Amino acid sequence: MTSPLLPLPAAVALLSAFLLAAASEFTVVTTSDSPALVDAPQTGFSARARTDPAEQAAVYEIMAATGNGWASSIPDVCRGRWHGIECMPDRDEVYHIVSLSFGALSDDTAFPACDRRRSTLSPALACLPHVRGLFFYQCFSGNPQPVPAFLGRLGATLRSLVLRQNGHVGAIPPELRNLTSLRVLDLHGNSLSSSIPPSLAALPRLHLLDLSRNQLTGEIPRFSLPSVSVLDLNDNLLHGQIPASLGSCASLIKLDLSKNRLSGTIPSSLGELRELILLDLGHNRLSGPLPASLGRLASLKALILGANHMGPAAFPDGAFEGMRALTTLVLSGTGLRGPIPESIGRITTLRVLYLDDNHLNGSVPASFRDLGSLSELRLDGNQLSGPLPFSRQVLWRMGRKLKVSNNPGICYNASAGERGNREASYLPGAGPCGAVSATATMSTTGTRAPAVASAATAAASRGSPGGH
Amino acid sequence: SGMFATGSSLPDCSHACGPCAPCRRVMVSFECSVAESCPIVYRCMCRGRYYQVPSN
Repeated sequence: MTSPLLPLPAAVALLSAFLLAAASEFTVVTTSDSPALVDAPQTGFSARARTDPAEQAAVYEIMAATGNGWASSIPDVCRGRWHGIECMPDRDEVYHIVSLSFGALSDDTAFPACDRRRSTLSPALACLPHVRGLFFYQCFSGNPQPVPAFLGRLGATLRSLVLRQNGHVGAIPPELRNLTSLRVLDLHGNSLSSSIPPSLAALPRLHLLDLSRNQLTGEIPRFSLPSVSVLDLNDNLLHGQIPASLGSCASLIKLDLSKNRLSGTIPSSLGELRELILLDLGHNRLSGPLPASLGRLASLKALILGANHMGPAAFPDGAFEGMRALTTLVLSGTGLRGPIPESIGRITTLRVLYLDDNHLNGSVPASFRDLGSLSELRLDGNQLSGPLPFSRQVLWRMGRKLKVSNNPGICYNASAGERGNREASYLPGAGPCGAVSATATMSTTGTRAPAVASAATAAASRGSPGGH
Repeated sequence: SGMFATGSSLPDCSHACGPCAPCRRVMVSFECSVAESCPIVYRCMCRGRYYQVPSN
């Protein structure tokens, strides 16, 4: 979007002269998608070319409908362009509109702003036969409207449709299935309340589908999207099982189905997604066990399964060892029981590990000493005890991102602590190992127990998420 | 399908500031210390406000 670094005026003049001289040597590239358009070098728009009159009238209408009536005073919209309109010429030197964008992404990247209380999506959009990209951000939030079905009439040319945080209500129109060239469909952050039309799940060229943060209901349709790389359905009301057909979307690098009501087990076919980098299934109603096939996800960097009741036997020992790129593993609140699997300590790529809010007992495995990249560890809210097997450097690096409160007896070797008697503020919820064993001895006598309890409570409150 | 517009041109700001006039092209540099080169971008400007330049 930003203009690239450009040379000094003298150099610009030189460059222009060169391009003018060389202009006849450029071959005109025609396109298979829109044969009428010419991808010619855009070294200054031709003095003769004009915008298609019908499309220009449509642009005036679309702009006026969003509260940007000023555009109607521009004699030729493709020659007098603004940030948010793109045009291309055809062989007869007629400009066609290929892209329209609205909404202020930031102060520095602002497309024409919409009057949120009154804006509408003009049906004149269907009069732009060459449009490839439409982008509306925070445009109709004060005037909630459905996503109009006429968008389906843009047919085979539209490649990118972004209607993000626009306040759209109602159904995703099934007519969008006619947009067979669509690469990007982004309806994030609206109030859409239908189910996902199965016809969308078969758009042949889709690369990105983001329907997150709506109120979409029903089951996830059987996706068969050979080129989809990002599928984000998080924060909806989707229920039922995760369809096994997702395993055939072989180009997926991000699959986010978190914050829904999905149930059943994770299909083993997801182990076929060899390109997958992020898999977020957190905050659902999924049950275990984790299919062994997921161990083949050698590209996976983040596996997030928190807040599902996966059950005590959900993660057999060694379940994650084939994930050789894994840096983030979130198993908070998944119903884990028993000791922490020793094998987690062998995922030496781990940087972030959440095991909090489970029923884990025993001590932290000695293998955790090998997690040399660990920078964030949550063990709070379990029944763990015994010493933390970390060196002073690792403890120092994790600092407040090591959370161990609400366990009966995690401690650390005083020699590993930063300095002397400051450990209590240094590691909330744990004290030096010698003191804990002394405490345990004392508490059997009953004399020190109240003081220990209040210290633990104070430590726990300091260890709360907002605090650190 | 290899369909990308090639080349570039100096941005024309004449209608790029919405309802604000006059709209003129300016060059904007970022604050650099003693760097060897400092990136420069074009912006359109009208009555003290900056606007993005039109896309090519």
